[in-house]
Amino acid sequence: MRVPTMTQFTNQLQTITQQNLTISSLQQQISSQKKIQNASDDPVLASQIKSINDYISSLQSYTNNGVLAQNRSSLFETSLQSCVNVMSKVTELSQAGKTETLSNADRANLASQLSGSLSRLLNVANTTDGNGEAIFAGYNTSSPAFVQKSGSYQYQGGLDQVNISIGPNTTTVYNDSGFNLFGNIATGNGAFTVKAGLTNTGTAYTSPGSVVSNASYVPDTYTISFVTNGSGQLGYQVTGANSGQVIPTPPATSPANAPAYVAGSDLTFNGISLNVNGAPNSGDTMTIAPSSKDNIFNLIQNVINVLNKPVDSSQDIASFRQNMSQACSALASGSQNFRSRLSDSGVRAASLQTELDQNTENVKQQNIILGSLSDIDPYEVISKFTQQTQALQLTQQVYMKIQQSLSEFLKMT
Amino acid sequence: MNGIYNIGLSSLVAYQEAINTTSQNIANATTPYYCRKSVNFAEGLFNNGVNISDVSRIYSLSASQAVMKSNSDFAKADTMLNSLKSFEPLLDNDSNNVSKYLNDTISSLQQLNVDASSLQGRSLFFNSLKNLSGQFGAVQNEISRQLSTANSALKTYAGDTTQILQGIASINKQIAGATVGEDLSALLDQQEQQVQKLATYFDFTTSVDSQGLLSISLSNGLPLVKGITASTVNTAVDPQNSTNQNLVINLGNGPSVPIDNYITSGQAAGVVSFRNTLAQTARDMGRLSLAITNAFNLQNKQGVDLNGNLGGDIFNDMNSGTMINTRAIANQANKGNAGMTVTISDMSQLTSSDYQLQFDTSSHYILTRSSDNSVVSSGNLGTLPCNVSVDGMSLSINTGTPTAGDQFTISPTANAINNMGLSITDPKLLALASPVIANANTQNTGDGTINLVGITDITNSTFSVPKQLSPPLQVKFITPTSYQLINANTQAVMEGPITYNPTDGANLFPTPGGYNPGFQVSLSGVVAAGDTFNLSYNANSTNDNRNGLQLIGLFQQNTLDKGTLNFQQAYRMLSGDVSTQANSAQIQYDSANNLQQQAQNNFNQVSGVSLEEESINLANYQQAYQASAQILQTAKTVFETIMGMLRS
Repeated sequence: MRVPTMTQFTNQLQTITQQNLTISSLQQQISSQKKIQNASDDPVLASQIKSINDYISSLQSYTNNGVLAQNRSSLFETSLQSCVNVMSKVTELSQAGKTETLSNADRANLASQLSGSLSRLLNVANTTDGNGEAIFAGYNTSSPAFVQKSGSYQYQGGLDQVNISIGPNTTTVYNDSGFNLFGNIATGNGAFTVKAGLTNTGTAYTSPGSVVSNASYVPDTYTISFVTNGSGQLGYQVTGANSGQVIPTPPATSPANAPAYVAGSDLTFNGISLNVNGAPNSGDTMTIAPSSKDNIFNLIQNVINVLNKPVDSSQDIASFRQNMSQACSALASGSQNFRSRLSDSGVRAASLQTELDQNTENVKQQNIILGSLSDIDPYEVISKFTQQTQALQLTQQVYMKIQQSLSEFLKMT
Repeated sequence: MNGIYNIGLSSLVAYQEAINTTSQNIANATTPYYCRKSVNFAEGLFNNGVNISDVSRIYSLSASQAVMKSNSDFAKADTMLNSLKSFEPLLDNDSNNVSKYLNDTISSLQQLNVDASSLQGRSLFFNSLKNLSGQFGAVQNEISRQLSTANSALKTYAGDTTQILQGIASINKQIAGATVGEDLSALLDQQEQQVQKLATYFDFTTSVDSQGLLSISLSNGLPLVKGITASTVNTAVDPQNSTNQNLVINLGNGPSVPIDNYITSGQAAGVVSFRNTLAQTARDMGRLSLAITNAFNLQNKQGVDLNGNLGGDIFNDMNSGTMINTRAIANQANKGNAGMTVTISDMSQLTSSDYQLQFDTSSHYILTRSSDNSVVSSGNLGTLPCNVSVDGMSLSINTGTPTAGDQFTISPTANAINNMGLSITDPKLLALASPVIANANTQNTGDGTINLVGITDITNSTFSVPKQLSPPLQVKFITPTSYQLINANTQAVMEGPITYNPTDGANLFPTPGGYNPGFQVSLSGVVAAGDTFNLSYNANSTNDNRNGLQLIGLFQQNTLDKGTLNFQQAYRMLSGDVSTQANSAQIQYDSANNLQQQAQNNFNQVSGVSLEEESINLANYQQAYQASAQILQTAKTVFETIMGMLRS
């Protein structure tokens, strides 16, 4: 078998080239710390790595939103806590205001304190974030949520909440609707309101009353009229705008059949129970109407207005009692609203934290997987590198030996 | 006496020649494709010394053909590997690829949804869309550049190979004109070198004719060199795709014959194969760009921009009048004048293949999908327009008359990237809000909540007048369990009463067969009689991000490939295809390299020079030469001895 000189050369060259290539690829791995430099080095692995990278990137954007939402959520919580605090002050002041022994000046003083509370609460409702966006204005964040217009407070934000994505299928509130928080509070006791007739001459007043039986409650506008009955006593009639005569029970509808009025007794009809007190005159009326919705600012303003009105005559006392009990009972449902929203917000913050923790943990896990897929094992690569450089040295030595022996052989011949 | 002289002389001449030959071998020990010469001695008759019967050129045709094949294969693998390796980073570069820009788009949109009214946030998202389409453009530019590089490479190959073929033919001419007994080995070695060089361009077969002349022909028998004539290799425009040049040959003054189909290896085949990869990548990228364009445009149209108007296209319309006319490319050889448009109709069904439309008669067509060569549609033209809907595209043959044999290449995706650009310049026009505001009346006594489920048809007449619903609607509860749908302008009852079940909540409308305003609304919770819910146009809600949240959702939807791939997956798939090809090119390169080495070794095993062998021969011949001289010296001494005897 002949071994042509060219073959010797090219074989050596080929081996050395191959070894150099391997060494250079190992060098790249060591310097970049990555198993693959180009996707073509291992397309399957590369595709896995890219897929994880994309996933991490999307988790990252969810996490970013999650952190924003968390800041926002704690801003909500602080705001709601302030609302609850202000409301307990408002409740305290308005309870104090109920005291009938106060002078007009004392009441005016309480009213001005309440005004301070009102403007504190208004500030909370119009809280803006770092970008000047109102956080309780739903979709319309560029102007304050509540403004005072022609003597009353009005909501001018959006009725819907702005949500942002914090997970692949999870959204959370970012801008809340101030309407639901501050604006949607039932007047009166939550079911109905009671007003004394404007032309009353007596001193009758009522409790806020309540619905004692939801099953038999018939929402309607009822008028209680005080009349003189058949026995010559002061009696009362109750008529509903839609329900017709309720008391006395039809068909005995004439005022002569009206039951006698006993001060301090409870009137019960159509699921409604109401305590009536004071001394009405025949011809006086009280009107019961279904509650409407108003915002907390107007409700507090009502209390302020009642307190600012001087109480001089016994009629004034009656209307003060009536108006004050109505105004204060509406405040109670306002307070209740803030407290329940505060506890909701606590729950939301907790679930937000869970989502955020999950995302963070997920990013961590994916990064670990990514590392194990894409990073080299330095010990393995360095030991390979050492092996290869030794092999290269050996090949080079063999090459030298062959060349040496060839030239010595040529010298001999 | 004469005998000794003759013996000495013949042997001196023979060894001189042998030394010459050996020296020539040693001198060419490293010349590629040099075939070593071997001296054959023959004993002179009647004690007449030695003669050189012949100097043979040690050559194996089969070893040479094996080298040729390995050279072709290696050249192809080498071209493929280098091309793919340089193309791959364009799709895969860590800092600069479509995948990254998609991720940027997602995160800037997520950020924008936090504050949909922010002009800065809108600019950021807008720029990320611009970068995304810019990256598509960058890929397209690179593909175009590589395609034109491929064209010029093929032009160069045509010139080089023409020259080589002429060289081989001219050697044939010298061989044919040589006198009998002339040493042709140098010419043959030269020819071998030329043939092996030719093999790196493309593959062919060789044979030697009765005159000893080398013939070269393509695998289908087309002659490249026949005797002393050589064909010319040229490039010509691909009749099916005018951007591509193809190799053709001309025999004498004969017509050009395209040869691409007969070439399977060599650099030329490598270039053509890489060109196919480029074209496939362009189509894959094209399809992805169409999917993104389609999804974003549709979603943006379902929203309201910062000016309070309904949104429009974000990206250029993919079915614009211009675009639908560019998707069918007539073969340059067509004789008829049929004209057609191609509209993309269903993104999820769209493939990234080209299609061949062939008119086998002037009134009958056959549409074949190129990726699997299957006929996807065929039929009679009938009265124009003839509409064919297949694989998510609608082909409409609408003008002219084809001639039998006419062909069109239907390319729904190939040119898509060129059209992918933003059609809006103002980030305010990004429609992040939803056009419908659904609200409970603030004086409702029940606690029913109403929600917009989605816009089902933005082309519904409800949205026909700017900045309002035609008509705005009201849902009015007559009892807690039944409601009417009312025109909020005229108070006219449009539908109802309809039953509502407060325990389940419900999609209020459209009810089956009922009034359909082009959007869907749901309601839940306990509702009181008299409660109303208003549905009005959303003109001023600057921070509404409901459509923005839908836009984010597009990235998770499997909009491509029959609903199996989202944008990111589609991109990973197409860039993965290229890296897989680069990977297998590496494997082919390694194996072609080994085979080439082996074939070279086998060739050299037969024809290569061994310096050791030649050195021994040289020493051998030198000694013999010296000994031959000694014969003459001896003869001379003998002669002089005899002459001396005569003198004395």
